[in-house]
Amino acid sequence: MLYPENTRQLEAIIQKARETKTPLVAVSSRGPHLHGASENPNAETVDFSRMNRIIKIDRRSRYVRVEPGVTFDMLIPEVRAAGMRLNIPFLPRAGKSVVASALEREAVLIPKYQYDYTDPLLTVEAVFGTGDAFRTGSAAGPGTPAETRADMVVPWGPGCIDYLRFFSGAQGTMGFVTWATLKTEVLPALTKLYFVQAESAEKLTRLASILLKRRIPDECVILSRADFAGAFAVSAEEEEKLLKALEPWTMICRVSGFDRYPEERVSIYEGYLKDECAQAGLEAVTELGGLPGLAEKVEAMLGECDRRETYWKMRRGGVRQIDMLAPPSRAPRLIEILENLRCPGDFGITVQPQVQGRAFRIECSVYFSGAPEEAGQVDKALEDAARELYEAGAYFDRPYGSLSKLAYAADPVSTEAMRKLKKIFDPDNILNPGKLCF
Amino acid sequence: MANLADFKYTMESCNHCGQCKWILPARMKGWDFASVCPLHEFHGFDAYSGQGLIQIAKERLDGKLEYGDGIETLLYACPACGACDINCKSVRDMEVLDTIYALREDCVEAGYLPEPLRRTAANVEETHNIYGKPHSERFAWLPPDFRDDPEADTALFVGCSAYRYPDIALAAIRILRAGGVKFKLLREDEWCCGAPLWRTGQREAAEKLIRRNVDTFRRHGIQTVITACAECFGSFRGGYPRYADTEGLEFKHITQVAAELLSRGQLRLREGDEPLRVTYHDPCMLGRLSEKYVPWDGEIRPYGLHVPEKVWRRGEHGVYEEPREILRALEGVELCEMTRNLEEALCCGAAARDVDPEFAAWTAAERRREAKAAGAQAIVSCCPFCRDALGSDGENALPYLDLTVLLAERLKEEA
Amino acid sequence: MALSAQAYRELAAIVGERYISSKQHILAGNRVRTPEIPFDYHSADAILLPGSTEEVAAIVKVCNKYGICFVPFISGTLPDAYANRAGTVLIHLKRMNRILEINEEDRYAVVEPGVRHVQLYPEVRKRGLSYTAASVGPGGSVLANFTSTSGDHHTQYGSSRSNRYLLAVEMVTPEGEIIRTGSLQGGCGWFCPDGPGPSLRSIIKGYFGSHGQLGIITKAAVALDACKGPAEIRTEGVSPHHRVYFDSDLSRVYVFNYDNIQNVCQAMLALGEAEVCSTVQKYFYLPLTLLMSDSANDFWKKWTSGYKEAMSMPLVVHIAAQSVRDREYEEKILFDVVRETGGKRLPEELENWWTEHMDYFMVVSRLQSVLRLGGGWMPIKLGADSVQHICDVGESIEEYIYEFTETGKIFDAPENYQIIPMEYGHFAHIELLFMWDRTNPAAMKGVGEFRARSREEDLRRHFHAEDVGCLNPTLLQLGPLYSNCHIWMQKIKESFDPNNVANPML
Repeated sequence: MLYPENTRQLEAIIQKARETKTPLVAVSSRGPHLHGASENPNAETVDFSRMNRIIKIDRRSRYVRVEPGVTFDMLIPEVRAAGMRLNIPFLPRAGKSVVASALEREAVLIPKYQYDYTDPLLTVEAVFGTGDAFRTGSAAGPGTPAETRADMVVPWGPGCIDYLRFFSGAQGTMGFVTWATLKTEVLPALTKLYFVQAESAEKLTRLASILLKRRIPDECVILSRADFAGAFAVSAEEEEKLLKALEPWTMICRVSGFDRYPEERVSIYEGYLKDECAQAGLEAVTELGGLPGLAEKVEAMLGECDRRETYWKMRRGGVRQIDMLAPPSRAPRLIEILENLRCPGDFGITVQPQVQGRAFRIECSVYFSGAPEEAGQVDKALEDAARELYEAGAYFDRPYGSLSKLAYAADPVSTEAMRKLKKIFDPDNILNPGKLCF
Repeated sequence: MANLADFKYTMESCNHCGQCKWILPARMKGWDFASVCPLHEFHGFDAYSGQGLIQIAKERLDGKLEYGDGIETLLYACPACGACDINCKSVRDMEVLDTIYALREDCVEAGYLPEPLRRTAANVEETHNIYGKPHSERFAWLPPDFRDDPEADTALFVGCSAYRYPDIALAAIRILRAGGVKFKLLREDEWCCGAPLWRTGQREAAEKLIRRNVDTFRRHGIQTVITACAECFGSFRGGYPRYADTEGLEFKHITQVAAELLSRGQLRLREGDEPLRVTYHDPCMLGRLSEKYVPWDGEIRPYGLHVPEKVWRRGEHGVYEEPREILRALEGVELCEMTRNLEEALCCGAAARDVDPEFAAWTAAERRREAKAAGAQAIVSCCPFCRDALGSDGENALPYLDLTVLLAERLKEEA
Repeated sequence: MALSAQAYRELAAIVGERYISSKQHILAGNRVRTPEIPFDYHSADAILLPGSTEEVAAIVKVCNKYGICFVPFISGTLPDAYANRAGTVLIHLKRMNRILEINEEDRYAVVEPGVRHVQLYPEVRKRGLSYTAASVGPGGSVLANFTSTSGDHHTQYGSSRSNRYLLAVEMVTPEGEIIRTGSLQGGCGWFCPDGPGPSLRSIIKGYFGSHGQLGIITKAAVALDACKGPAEIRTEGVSPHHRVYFDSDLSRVYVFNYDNIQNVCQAMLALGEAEVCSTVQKYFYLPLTLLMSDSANDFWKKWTSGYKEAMSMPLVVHIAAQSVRDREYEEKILFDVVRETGGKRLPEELENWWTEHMDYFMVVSRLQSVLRLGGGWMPIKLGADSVQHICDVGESIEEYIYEFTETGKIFDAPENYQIIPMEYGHFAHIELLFMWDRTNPAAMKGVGEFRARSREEDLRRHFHAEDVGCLNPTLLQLGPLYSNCHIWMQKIKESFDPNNVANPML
């Protein structure tokens, strides 16, 4: 294990690895690692946990700059103290690296703030597989970060290349990021939480798409009964109770008011929310019947990380996941395929609207004991499901493990173009080799 | 001597913004019918556009281009409809169409006027009409008992198209009679208006004919000239002041006169006609190109300041409303509008026919397609050349109605 | 190197004789110098009009075979759309002009390069949708805007720069292969530009596009937002005085003048935090006066009779609300913010221009009237960063511009820069637009001097006011200061264009 503490050290590590032809993989989160990013037996692990500075929190321009070792449990309270909030996934694990989450294009909870799939990631500093440091977007220059007077927040470029997109979704195959700038948003002065329940996910995905087209809700996520119960229950008994009380699908959404006339904004936007629900034959409610105290709990946990000793997804012992992107027209069919999954253990589905309602990240988590023989069965079931999902139009934009075969099969010419780029930024193929299409 | 150099400022001002090729955003309706330059739409190369032509003009001025390899075909395939000019002028102070005219003069001087246009010019010279028919037959369609008012200071100028479409001239007469307008015909003194000469760069011949016509009007004591031909009207207003002093002469189109008569109740219309859904095609020379030309001879100072101040023809004051008022007054007639209407009207292509017949036919078919897409059962206009183009049997055939004829047919008994 | 007869024949065999020409008068349509450029363009050896991706790929292969350079273009508004050396063909993409799909549910449109803003915009608007149409006028290519040019537009405060909205694309590489990006690469349609894994989208467009240097984009999907306003546009009058109105209960425009860019900055940030208004821009007073003028002469009358002073630092705001109550709420906040930051509302007759020209907020129409003073114009800086940083850049301009305006080297409009926030104030873009008397050949020297000075001042202050551009000489000058990006861009270029035929500029 190697523990760089700054960019210079990382550059030296990579130079050395080039000379010795030693593969490198990057780790920045505390465990457990759900996608097996570090599973490369011949590789040296570069652990970024000691690069854990919160470099800057800027209230005026609404951004933070952090090193990869900064985790959600470290950053969320600091940002809140500055009067802001992060756009984070739904209940991420506390020890997850904020930078890694953004680089992995994990689905974020407030889709109205997400203008494209790399959002809220803005700029990064990274070291390529050549050992050269680089900064993306308006962080590129002029001069060093110490010299430039820019806030280094614009993601695009420099020039005609979007370098950020070499690192996004790359699983450390093009370079290792040493810091990242992320967007933050103003903390609302007032919020109001709503639940919308339905028999079918399709009703809620359609509703979410319309709501987000009009930019009505802030937080917006759709959970299957299992995932809702698993996320918010504190015990197995409570989980059981929730499973009995809930409808098959629940959308959680929140409308906000900011510093100026917050009540008025909340009133206007909850009015829009209720109108759209009514048109869809659904109802937005502030309490889930027969479940006292639940709304307050959800309110407290939304926008937070999971600080419980056992991460909610690991509550059974083990978890395997498959996730995909889908446009609104295709999401219902994919969810239906997942609903019919046959595998050991139980599973939950989280449907996170993305990019202002133009897509959904559908994540299916299979919860099992963790025993290896069961793991094998779960893996097989998901592999079979993946094929069916792919045929139905699922887009595996983050093709972990065996999904890469499916993801890159459709267009070998484009895949080869990607390999050309890999050759430029990692000519000795030392960065996480064997991943994706490399 | 061609005055190409007079337009150097325009030639050097083009930023390739593309306004000359596309419909103004205020008028946009969709993917279809978005192009206003049929030449560019058909041929594709940028040279085939207002922008292209002023850049060809620049290279001619700089001595970088010679005629003989196709410029002349391109130059005269352009119908000089003015869409590029008007659209450019919506945002710029440039004279695109006048540059094209100047380039045509240059082409004529160089001896490259296309043969069909030479023949037309020869017809005008020899027989005073574009068809080469005997001048003595110009008014052969007049009923023998027709009497005009020799003392009138208003003339009805029938135009060369009366040879082909005497119904238009007869209809104009009916309308004026019904409205109580005193007028006379110039008969053997009426020669071609000169449009085929000045619009094709034949400066010398145009000047001679136009001055002769203006003298004729004055000699006859004419103060107002009415015509039912859009081409003649556009020439009188947009062409004549370039070559002659037209002070004291007023030019009107029959639709302007008829609309005023209708508004004053001096024309009575028949009732009970079959419903008919029509669209109105704005002729270039009646619409955007019919504003009065005001000669300007000044200096262009830094940052575009024109000294003395120039009166620009930007197409705003063309004859657009009066034909529509007439159509709205006709019982049973429902008016629907094409996307490209008013100052954005797509040219019918007639002026290109002699030099690029395939392009001309395509343009006319396009316009008819647009009329059909607007839901029209017939296309109405008031230009005999638009009638030639749009009323032809080509693709997307649609009945064509001349507005003057249509109005005359709908009149109750004359006063 | 002129095009050989054999090469010409092979190219003609691809597109057909009708769609290729090497006649001088045809080439003249695409080589005459435009007024803002100090040199004549090279002439292309031929111009081709392909009709499909396959034809484009075949043309590119022939170009590689014979070492012919190629430059793709559509409207030809920018200098990058011309031949810059002998032995070049221009590939005019106007025939590829289909709107392939408008997907209302998934909110995207797929277009070929020849689709113009005046074509796509009303089609999506009819469907209750809109997109970020950049300020290039009606004939601008949607695809080129999104992929090649900056794609900045005046209404990006409540949305964002076109970069965010570019989805999957199909592209012909400089060697003639056809690649696809994002979900299209994954066989899953057009909706996502990213992945699988790291994205080929990275070489499609950075801050700017490559103008064909890394390939010719033949299809692109663009994301669509909800349309704020009527589906059908109501127009009155005739050019140049036509009017386009929206429903004033929901849509209103306000113009406030400020005397201090830092106060403007405060206002922008405050409005952004409140997430109110659809458009907020610190506009520039020279184009503002030009937009309102009927002619250059009219401009001079207005400019010298008080417009310059009355609108020296205008903040233009457009509210496009979802309900009357919403509009009232947004207006309340807007007036509070303006009052707190010292803005003064302009007289109604000046504000009315915007109210009567709501097409401005759709395809930013009429903006070419900025060229009315003769066409000698140049937008510089064009960088983006935080609103604060960009306002600091703007503030610094007065420290060096007077030397040029007071000596007549450039037009006397020292505050003629615009700042447009994006994503409710997360960042902003700056454009310093200056003009010069292009009828004076000596003026180009002053233009060059001012441009160099502006860059020098920004670099001295370590301002990120400018990007490095595509693979052109500016890249070599600035690249070493910008993480040595010139090295990486050239490596990528060499890898994808080993024969250096794709619009080479270096």
